[in-house]
Amino acid sequence: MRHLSLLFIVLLSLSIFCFTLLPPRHDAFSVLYVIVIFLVSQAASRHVIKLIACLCIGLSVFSFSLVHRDDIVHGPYTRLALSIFAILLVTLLALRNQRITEALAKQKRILAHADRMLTLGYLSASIAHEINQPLTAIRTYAHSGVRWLKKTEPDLTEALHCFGSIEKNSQRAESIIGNIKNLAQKKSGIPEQISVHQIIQESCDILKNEISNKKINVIFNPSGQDIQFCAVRIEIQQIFINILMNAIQAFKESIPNNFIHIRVYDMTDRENFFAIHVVDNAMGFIEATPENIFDAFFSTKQNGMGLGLTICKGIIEAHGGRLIAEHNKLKGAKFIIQLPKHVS
Amino acid sequence: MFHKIPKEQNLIVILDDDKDVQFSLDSLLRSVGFTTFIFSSTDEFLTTPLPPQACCMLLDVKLGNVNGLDFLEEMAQRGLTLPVIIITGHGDIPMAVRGIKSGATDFLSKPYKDTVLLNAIADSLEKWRNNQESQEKKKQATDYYATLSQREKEVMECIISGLMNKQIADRLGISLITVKIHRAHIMKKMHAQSLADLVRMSEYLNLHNKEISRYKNK
Ligand SMILES: Nc1ncnc2c1ncn2[C@@H]1O[C@H](COP(=O)(O)OP(=O)(O)OP(=O)(O)O)[C@@H](O)[C@H]1O
Ligand SMILES: [Mg+2]
Repeated sequence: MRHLSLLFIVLLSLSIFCFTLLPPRHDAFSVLYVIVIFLVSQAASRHVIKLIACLCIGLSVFSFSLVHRDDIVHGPYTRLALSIFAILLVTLLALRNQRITEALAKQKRILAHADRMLTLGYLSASIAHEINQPLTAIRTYAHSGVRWLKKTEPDLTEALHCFGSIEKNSQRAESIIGNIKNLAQKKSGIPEQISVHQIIQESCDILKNEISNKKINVIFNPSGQDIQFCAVRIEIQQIFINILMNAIQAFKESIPNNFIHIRVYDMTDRENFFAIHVVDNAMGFIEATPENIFDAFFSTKQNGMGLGLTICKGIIEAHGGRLIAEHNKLKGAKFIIQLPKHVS
Repeated sequence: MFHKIPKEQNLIVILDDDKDVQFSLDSLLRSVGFTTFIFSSTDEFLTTPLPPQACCMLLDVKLGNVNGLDFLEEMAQRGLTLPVIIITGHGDIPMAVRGIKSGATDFLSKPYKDTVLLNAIADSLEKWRNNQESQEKKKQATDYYATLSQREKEVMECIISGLMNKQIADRLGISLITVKIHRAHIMKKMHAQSLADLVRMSEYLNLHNKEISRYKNK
């Protein structure tokens, strides 16, 4: 794909160059190099744009010297100057555009990071509990290891088992901390192959304490074939965590018939797309509509930032997908995530 | 602490949904001579009959979707009596109060020191044994009391309120001889060695009647 567009740009520059030399040998065509710069600026970095601009100016001057080699002194220099001026102007605009796009992307990253930190804040009690479990096991094993060894007839097998378990539990604590670090990191990482089932399961695991506190029955039966797609892991995880977290927060009571239903399937009406439904039977949209919930800073929660869904929608659309909210038929809310299987 | 763990009362029930915590507790308790019976869920616990050696239960507050404190109340309703030590990751005071009110003998927060846990178990067992003894005495007293006739019950009420035979005879409108006969029967039927014995038993039965007094009635 990249190579193809590069080839196209090279061919375009060459044909403009040839155009200026072909009869009637009109070097005014040099102004067409702005198209090259415009195309390059869509994908390339700033350095490349500058390089290409220099090349285009070089080519213009070169073709000018070729066209007017009989009478180089009296050539139409104004025309050349105008071409070069046009090229410079477009380059400048392209560079500026790029800077703004980059700044915007950076702001988005910062916002997404802030949102993840907010999630970690919500989860702090659960995280503490999750780390406390292996810590408790480690401490208890340490004590019992000593007791097995201090017996009048020391039991080495039992003591060794204690030490092994201490090692195992410290790994468990480490992996929890690793997960938090992943969520807390600023960079969002590079795209990788992702299993949809696995990432949904992981997101549910991260929220498992919140889920059990509200006595929610999460129904996710990964039936059929798993769908693999290419995306930035942490971004996709953020989508699920935000949508699930919203659903969890929408349950006001902890009662046993609370449920969240997650379903993954291939879309029949859109080729190469798959969809994920997240349905809950909580309070549904109150003081909110399925449209305005995506507005930035719209929140009906006391200490909500109102960024969760804005960010989800942004990530999904950047992947070429769609995020839709609906009232669920009987009670609650329904979120539909549509994503292409192959994201370039 | 545990100089000798009696064979007939050496089984500790562990109800916790975390495998690692379960097994670490198992190792610690076995290292001091207990045996353990591990459950991961309340359903599993309710459907398995407990062996008679069970003497104490360690109950985690977080058991998946079930709250351990709710379960403690359910246990009481089902008549499951066993000293219960509540173990929690993030104990606060209201939680502790609720736990103790629902009949828990102790409340520990994770991670705990081994000695703290083992002390809590020892205390629970002791408290439980005392409680068990008084329960037994109460049951015995109730059984004996049930064998008394209506008249004997009336006479007993008067005796434990401190009335003298003469006063009892006057109060109930019977002869002194009859009172004495009733009195002898009561002592025999209640298996009481002395008046003090009888009074102690009446305490278990909650018989004391404030209306009757040796002095007021004069
Ligand atoms: N499952 C749901 N059920 C009911 N209302 C929902 C649900 N999901 C979202 N909403 C509504 O949409 C609003 C916006 O959600 P969003 O995630 O963008 O922000 P927030 O949850 O309020 O705050 P933040 O996620 O930044 O902490 C919520 O305040 C809530 O009113
Ligand atoms: Mg939210």
